[in-house]
Formats: sequence, structure tokens, C-alpha cells
Amino acid sequence: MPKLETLGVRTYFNGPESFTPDGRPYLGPSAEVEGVYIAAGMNSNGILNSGGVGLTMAQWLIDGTPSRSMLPLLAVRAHPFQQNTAYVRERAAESVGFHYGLHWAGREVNSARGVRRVPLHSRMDAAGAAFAERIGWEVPMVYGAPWQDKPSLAWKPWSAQVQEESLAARDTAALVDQSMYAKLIIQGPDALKALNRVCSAQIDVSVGTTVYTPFLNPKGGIEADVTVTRMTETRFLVITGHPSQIRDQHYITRNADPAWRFEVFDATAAFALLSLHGPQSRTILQALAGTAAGRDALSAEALAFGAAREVDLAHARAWVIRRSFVGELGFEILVSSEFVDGIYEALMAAGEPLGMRLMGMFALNACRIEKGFLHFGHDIGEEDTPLETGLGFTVGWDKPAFIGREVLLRQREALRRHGGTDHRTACIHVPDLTAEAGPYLIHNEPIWHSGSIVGQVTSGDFGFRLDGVYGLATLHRKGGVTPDWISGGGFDVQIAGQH
Amino acid sequence: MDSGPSLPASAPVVIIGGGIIGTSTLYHLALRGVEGVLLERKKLASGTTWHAAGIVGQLRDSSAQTELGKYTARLFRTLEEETGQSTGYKQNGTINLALSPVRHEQNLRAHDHAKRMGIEAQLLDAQALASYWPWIERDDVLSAFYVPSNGQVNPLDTTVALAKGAKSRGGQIFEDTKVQRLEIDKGRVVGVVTDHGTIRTDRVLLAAGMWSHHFAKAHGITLPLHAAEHFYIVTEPMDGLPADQPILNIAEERTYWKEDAGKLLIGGFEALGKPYGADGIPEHFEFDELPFDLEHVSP
Ligand SMILES: Cc1cc2nc3c(=O)[nH]c(=O)nc-3n(C[C@H](O)[C@H](O)[C@H](O)COP(=O)(O)OP(=O)(O)OC[C@H]3O[C@@H](n4cnc5c(N)ncnc54)[C@H](O)[C@@H]3O)c2cc1C
Repeated sequence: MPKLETLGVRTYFNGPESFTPDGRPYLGPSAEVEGVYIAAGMNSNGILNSGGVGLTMAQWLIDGTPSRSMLPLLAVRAHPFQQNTAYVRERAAESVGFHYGLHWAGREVNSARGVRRVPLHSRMDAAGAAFAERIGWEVPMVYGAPWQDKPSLAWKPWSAQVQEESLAARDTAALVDQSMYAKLIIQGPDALKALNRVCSAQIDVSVGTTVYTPFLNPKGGIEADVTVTRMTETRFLVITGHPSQIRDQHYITRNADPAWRFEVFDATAAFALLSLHGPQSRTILQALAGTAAGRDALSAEALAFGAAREVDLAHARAWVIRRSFVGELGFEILVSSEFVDGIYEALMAAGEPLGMRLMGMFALNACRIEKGFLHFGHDIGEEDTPLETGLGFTVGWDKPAFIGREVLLRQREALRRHGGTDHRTACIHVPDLTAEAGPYLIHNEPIWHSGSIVGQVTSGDFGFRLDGVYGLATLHRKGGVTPDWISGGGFDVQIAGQH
Repeated sequence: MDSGPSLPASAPVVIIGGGIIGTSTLYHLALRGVEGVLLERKKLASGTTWHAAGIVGQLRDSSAQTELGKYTARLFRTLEEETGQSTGYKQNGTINLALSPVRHEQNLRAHDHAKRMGIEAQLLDAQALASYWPWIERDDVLSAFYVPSNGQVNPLDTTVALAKGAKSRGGQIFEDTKVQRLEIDKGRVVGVVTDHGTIRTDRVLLAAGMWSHHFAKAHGITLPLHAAEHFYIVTEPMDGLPADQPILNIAEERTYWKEDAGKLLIGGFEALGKPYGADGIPEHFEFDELPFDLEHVSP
């Protein structure tokens, strides 16, 4: 510290300033009252953000939308419980410290904890979960390794457990409690229209089908990344990340024709959501099916990838959706909350002898990066279109008009001409790095090609199944990021000063 | 209630709060030809803005936000030329020290990131650091991340300049005008009720700083924030301290150091701060400061 012991103090100053639970301001339209916009909670950065915020708010107020992605700062990321003043007061004290706090994957908060708990919270706690706080939720991050404040950008105090959980998904089975994900029921005679307007994918599918789809904005950019399951002709279930719980409801209703008859019901608390991944996952699920007919209903033939069925599970009825965010054989189990304890007990009884493990969010994230699955907010956002991010397969070109369609059509034309869009998501692997020493890809590492920077990493981590450092990146090239250019190689990623 | 300014009956946009955020938005609306109305309960900048240290960094996590950071730094320069009102902007640079290996790695990563963002930056070794900050002990410094184009600004003067720029283009500002509530009809805002009358509008910006949480809550609007105290000290004048002395951030010690009219201003962000105003901000608050708490800020 500077040697200034001899210098006298002339002024002691103390002034108040507003701080927010996650250390970021709230900007943009409020979810509750149309026409009311917010720009507050500057967390002691209001001066250095004043020009950019003023410019952006003026665009929002005039054009209805900002010209740049404001994703992490949107006011609609807040959950209504955060109106609670005791909660914001306790957290504000800690938010002050975010300023010089260290940003690393294990950064944790200690104030105002335990606000939102999934139905199985106590069981996850008993199973040794280390929880992190996300918009009030207690999210199991890893099992069997208590949280430790030992910041590291490579190997972490719980990496051995993350490794075991990742390998369980590859070799046997891993069970994840994802009940904090938002579940929105969109229902009514015009529910299909409301969804088809915001989704790039065709939602008019047969009952019992799950569709993975982005929501798009008029520029073709991605506003949400969800799955939609058609439960009946007029009833759809949208599953989305917990930071999008309010945002996605708002987006659907704001873009709907006022004459359409449908409602959005937030069923987040009504359902528990477990996901089961790995080669043994079907065997484990089938052990809960009770009858031969029940087991058949879960067979590869009856339940193809993307299919969703309401089936017998233990002594309950549950929706089982065949898909996996970690890239293994996998199932999501969606069940009314009162049944989840029973299903959990049955899953553990059937799975543990086969080597099934509980898996937390650290491993889930590392596994999805390894498989090149995109994360909304990191790898994709409002300034990326499906065609630029490898999500072109979601686009229902023949479905009725949807937001962003014209832009996508033009982009498809350009793509046919040039063989690539000007920016494009790619998976990357950095050879010869160990889990212990790193360095890891995390975020924003520049990517070089022929002496210039051509892109950056959007997320990265150590992938234990493939035993290497993996990441997702955005590449830029005037005239098109073409498959030839990519396969031509010559790319180099710079991590912490090293090429 | 009749002695105050006379408000327009309607406005395309009403901004609640005349801090730097509300005033900047009024200015940018005016640049786009929209003549907004800004309402401030006391005087412009009399909430949090007037006493800010005014440090201006540009590098953010995302490209979009960094572009806005660079825009802000540019604006502080052009605003002065445009309005004739000084913003006190100077480009003295910032230096972030790393005293631990993890911070050092982050400095290296920040340096890579700045390069991609087109922000000139250097990693200084102890020797080079000595030429900028001869007064500090350097034995424990692993690296120093220097961004010459960062700087500092006078927040009060900048707010005045933004107000001037806004008014010259038709933006209107009413001080001593407190917004009491919003008028809402079928989930849509239709007006703003003040202690000097009501303005019809269908677009409102809530930029009321630390007041915003309670105001929003009263209308069922979610806005999670709370005031906390923020401390700094200013030393006696210091010999040989140049006006362009780079700003120093020592994250491990949770302090920032900057030149302020020949003196050193030293501020901090404690690991655990002190919340302020749990039951609302006092009605009379205007250019107020709070009692200093030496015990709280002592390491
Ligand atoms: C000690 C200190 C140092 C700081 N240093 C820096 C720094 O170096 N760099 C940086 O970027 N930031 C810094 N900040 C933060 C910066 O000062 C704030 O982020 C910024 O001033 C917030 O501006 P604002 O417009 O949101 O809020 P404010 O300036 O508080 O403005 C809100 C205004 O709304 C008015 N208002 C409230 N309710 C109503 C109502 N009902 N009707 C009408 N008007 C209403 C208030 O009177 C007030 O004037 C510092 C802050 C402090 C306390």
C-alpha cells in the first residue's frame, strides 16, 4: 500500500449509493407495468456508465428496443420476491464488496440465503450438496465437497468431485435436480399462435413432442433458449433457465395479439424437474415403470429423442422427456411437486447399485461445453441469430410468420452465396492442457488467425469425459466464416498472455 | 401547491430523477429529437451523483458493454466542446495492481481482453510502476494493468453539461418537483402525479437512484436495490502529485487512489458494507452526507 502515513487527512466523506443483489444495474422495461422503464441500481458505477445508459435508455424509450444486447442488465431478470426490502438490505451490504471481489466460478454470497428451495432441498443437503445462490434459489453445484473460498481459475477444491460426476454421466448415470428451472404453462385456444409467433421452430407438432427452440427478436437475434412440450392440443409447457422466468413470460405476452385467447401460468413451483443422464439411465427409469407395458413405454422405440410422454413412474404419473443437456442418453422427469420425494427414493434405490451419482451444476456446465451445447447468456444472445450459432436446424421455414423470419430468410440467401455468415459459433479444444495446471478457457480469450484476432471464447471449462480443455467461441470473418476456412486450421487461442 | 413551476399537461416521455442517469437519458432523447420532461424532487445531482469520485473505466465483460464504456469516455470530451460547460474530464489512466497469483492471472487475461476490445493497455512490471507511482511499496506487486485512456470526470459538472445540452434541444427540467405516484390504467402507465400537478404520458423512466426501490414497490414493480454507505477520505495537499496522476486500484486491499485538486482521494469498497435507509431515504435529503464511520472502514 502507498506509504502515506505522514500525510494528514483533510476530509472524511460518506455518501449513500444503491446496490443490487447481483451487483448489476436494472435496465429496461418493467415486467409489471407497460410503459414504465427502469434505469437504477448503479452499484457505484453510475458515472462511468452514464453515457452508455443514457444512450441506450433513449433508444429503448423511442424505438422500444436497444441497439445492443443488454442481456445481463435487463430489469426483467428480477423475480418479484426481490421486492422484499429485508432481502435487498441484507444483500446490499455484501454487494458493496463485489467491487473488489474476485470473479471466479466459485464466487459465493453469504447473505440472505435459503430464500428459494427446490422440493428436494433437504435431501440434496443431506447428500452433501454445496449450494450457490441464484436469484434466491439454492442451487446444488457439486456433491461431497463443501464450498471453500480458495479462488482458482483452474483446478478447484471440488474438481475431483466434478470429475466423478462427469464420469458417472459417461459411464453409468448421473441425476440432476433442475427444479429451479422455470416452467411456464401456455394454454388456451390461441396458445399455439402466441408461441409460434416468438419461437423460430414449428410448435404445431403432435401432442407428446418436445421442441428445442429459441425465441427471436425482429433482428433474428435470440431472446430465449427453451424447450416447448405439447401436452395437449391447447396446452404447452415451456422450460427455461431460472434467470429467464419472468423475462420469457413477458416476451410471450408482449408480442401476442391482444385479441388472442390464451394465458401464461407460471408453474415453476408446481413441478419438480429431475434429469437423468448416462448409459444406465433408461435401465434405471424402467426399473420404476412397474409393468412390462410401462417399461415398453420408455423403450428407445416408444420414446424417441425429443418425445415426451406421461408415464407410470414409481407410484406416480410423470412426464418423461427424452433429451439431455450433457450429450448422453438422457431423460427429463417432470412431476407434480408432491410426488418428487417418492420418485427420488425410487430412483436412488434403482440407480445407486448401478453406480448412479448426483450431479451438480458445475459438472452439468462442464459437460455441456464439452459437447458444444450453447448456453443462453454466454454463448448466444440478442445479437446472434440461429444461423450464426449452429441452431439453423430449429428454424421452421415453412411455418406461419414469426418474429425475425425476414432477417433469417435474407441471411439464408447470403449463406448460400458465401458459404458462411460473418460471425459463427464454433467449438474449440486446446490440446495438451491438464486439469490440474490449466490454464482453462473461461470467457473472452482472444482467438487468432494469420496474425489478427478473429474471435473470442464465450464459455469454457475442463471437460473430464474427454480429458481436456474445451470451449465455445464466436469467430468473425468478413465474407463468411465458412467450413473451409474453419477446417483450414491455423487458429490459436490466447489464454492469460500465452498463445 | 401553486407556487411551483408550471408543468406541461402531457409529454412523450417523463423521467423521474435528475441524477446523472436521468439527465443523460433526457440529453440522449433530445439528440434524437424527443423533447422529454425530467422531474427532480430537489436539485439536479443532489442525490448520489454530486459526490461521486468520478472514475471512468471503459473495459467491460462483453463487447456490447465495452462499446458503451468507450462511448461514455468520448461523450465526456465532446460534451464539453458542445455545451461550453466543463465536465472536468481528464485522461489520467488507471492502474490495477495484482498482489496474488489469481489476480495476476486476471491481469494477464484483462490485458488480452483489452487488446481484442481495441483499448490500449500495458502490463507494467515493478520498475515501470515506480515511474507512475513512486510512493508505493512494490515488493508484493506481481503485475500492474495500466489503461492510459481511462480517466476521471467531475460528476456534478457533467450532469450540468448534460442538462444544458438537453435543454438547448427542447428537453425540459423541473426541479423541486416530486413525483408522488404513477397513474396506471389496465396495466399501462398513463400519467405521472407530482406535487405540482399531473402530466399525461405513456412512457416513464424511473431513474430515481436509491429511492427507486420503494417507489417501484408501491406500484407493484420489482426493482431490487438498496442504499449502502460509501466512504472516502481526502488528504492534505501533497507535494509533487501531478494532475495527471494515474488512478490506482488495489483490489486485495479494497481501495482506490486518485488525484483530486492536488490532494489524494482514497476510497474503498469493504467486503461487507453498511446498508443505509431501510425505511426509506429521509424526505429532506439533498446534497447530504452521512457521518463517517472510522471503525467500520478500518482494516
Ligand atoms: C462516495 C461515492 C463515490 C463514487 N464514485 C464513483 C466513481 O468513481 N465512478 C462511478 O462511475 N460512480 C461512482 N459512484 C456512483 C455514482 O455516484 C452513482 O452510481 C450515480 O451517481 C447514480 O446516479 P443516479 O442518477 O442513478 O442516482 P442519483 O444521483 O441519486 O439520482 C436520483 C435522483 O432522483 C431524485 N428522486 C428520487 N425520488 C424522486 C421522486 N419521487 N421524484 C422526483 N425525483 C426523485 C433524487 O432526488 C435524485 O436526485 C460513487 C458513489 C459514491 C457514493
